[in-house]
Amino acid sequence: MKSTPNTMPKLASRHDTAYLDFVEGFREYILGKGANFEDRLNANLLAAEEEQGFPLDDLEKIKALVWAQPLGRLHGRLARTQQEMKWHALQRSFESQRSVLSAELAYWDSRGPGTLELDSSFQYPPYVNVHFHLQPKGYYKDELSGFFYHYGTKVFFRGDNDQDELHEKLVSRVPLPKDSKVNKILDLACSIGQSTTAFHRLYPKAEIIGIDYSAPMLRVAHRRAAILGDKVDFKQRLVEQTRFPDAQFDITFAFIVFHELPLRIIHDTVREAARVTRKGGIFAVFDFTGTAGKSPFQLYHRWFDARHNGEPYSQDFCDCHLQDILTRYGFHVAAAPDGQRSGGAGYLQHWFATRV
Amino acid sequence: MGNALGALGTFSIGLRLVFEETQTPEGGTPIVGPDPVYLQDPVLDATVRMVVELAAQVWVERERRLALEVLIEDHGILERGVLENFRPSATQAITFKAERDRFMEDIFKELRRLPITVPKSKDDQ
Repeated sequence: MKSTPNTMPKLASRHDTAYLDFVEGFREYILGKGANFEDRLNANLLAAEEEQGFPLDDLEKIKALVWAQPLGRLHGRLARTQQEMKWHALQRSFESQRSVLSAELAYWDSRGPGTLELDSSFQYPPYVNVHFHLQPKGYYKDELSGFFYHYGTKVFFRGDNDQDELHEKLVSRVPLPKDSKVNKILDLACSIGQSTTAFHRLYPKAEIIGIDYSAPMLRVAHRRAAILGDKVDFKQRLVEQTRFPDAQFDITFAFIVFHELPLRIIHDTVREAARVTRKGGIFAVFDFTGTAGKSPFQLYHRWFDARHNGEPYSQDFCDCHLQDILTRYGFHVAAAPDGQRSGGAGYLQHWFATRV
Repeated sequence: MGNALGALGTFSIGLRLVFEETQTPEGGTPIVGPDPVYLQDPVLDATVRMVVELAAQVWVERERRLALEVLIEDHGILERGVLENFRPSATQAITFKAERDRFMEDIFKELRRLPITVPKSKDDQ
């Protein structure tokens, strides 16, 4: 069996690797069943709900109840700390080898088999100036942002996505258009291109294009694809203004994109996806589950993640009805998304929409 | 209170995350500032952070020792008693001291983050 080349940026030392290994394990412990904060805090909230005699769905009240508990405050402290530790370690590790990593990117910029198209006059819209997930300098202000993101998400996915396993699984779930024609695929906000290359492996004869606003992300995406030998093209463009001709794509894809967009841009992006996806084509979206029907603690967690983990737009996204927005701009959503959690990851759900 | 990051300028202290300029999210949930206090007292926050940092450092050392012990035994290089009796040379001691300084910084940098006064308002939570 052919082994897959490792595209993960190398850390400077065994110390750094072990440190991040700790963060990965600690994260799982405090956010999962190890410390079991969720079950215990939610039980406390449900008891308050029972006491008041009606559903506890007021976020301000939920927040007050969680913050009144030492356990709730400690949960917040630890959740924030593990994220900060991750970035501290990566900052130190990458900073000490910045020139090497920079040269690595430059080496691959002009090598194939695919292409990298950066726009020297690109204007970053103000709304993208956010340190998502507390990533230092955000997604585009550091030449090494793509490397930060790649290793950061490795910790987030607990090592389960080192070979793009999750991306390959999600991409394989995207339904074919009714006529089964898949010649051209657009990966919206592709970041480091894991879905883009996964699509290439699934449809090796199709033209696959990944777009993102972040030049550092696209350079890492291109480097990854080149090392993997996947012929895909990356272009620096906005998801709400792709500049492709109408009805170009058989599949348009968006993986955890919408929760990082303001509501206004969500509408613009769906409208743009409707414009570039051909009739009968598929717009496949994987993103955070909505807040409807969530437990009190899950409602709290959504707010906490938004405010304390650099996700300012996620609350609005989770509160909105994406299916209605998709319908409004010309898609038919075949299956109701409720309950369709995807990829074995409980925080995701999907919307598979057909362009009508 | 609006976006707490709006009031930030350029700063960098030790290994804290560097928020070198104001972020500009469009609406949505206001992002908390760079050093939120979660517990009743900033000292408690620092203490918790130090404990977690210490645990990380302990794991880093344990992982390295496990790797070394396996390699040493696999290669038949040393008996375990030799390691117990090892004393560093003067040059080696300088290296060890530098490592110790890094260890101190990693764990106790939180002490430098403590505010001089306790915030009066809880609005920023």
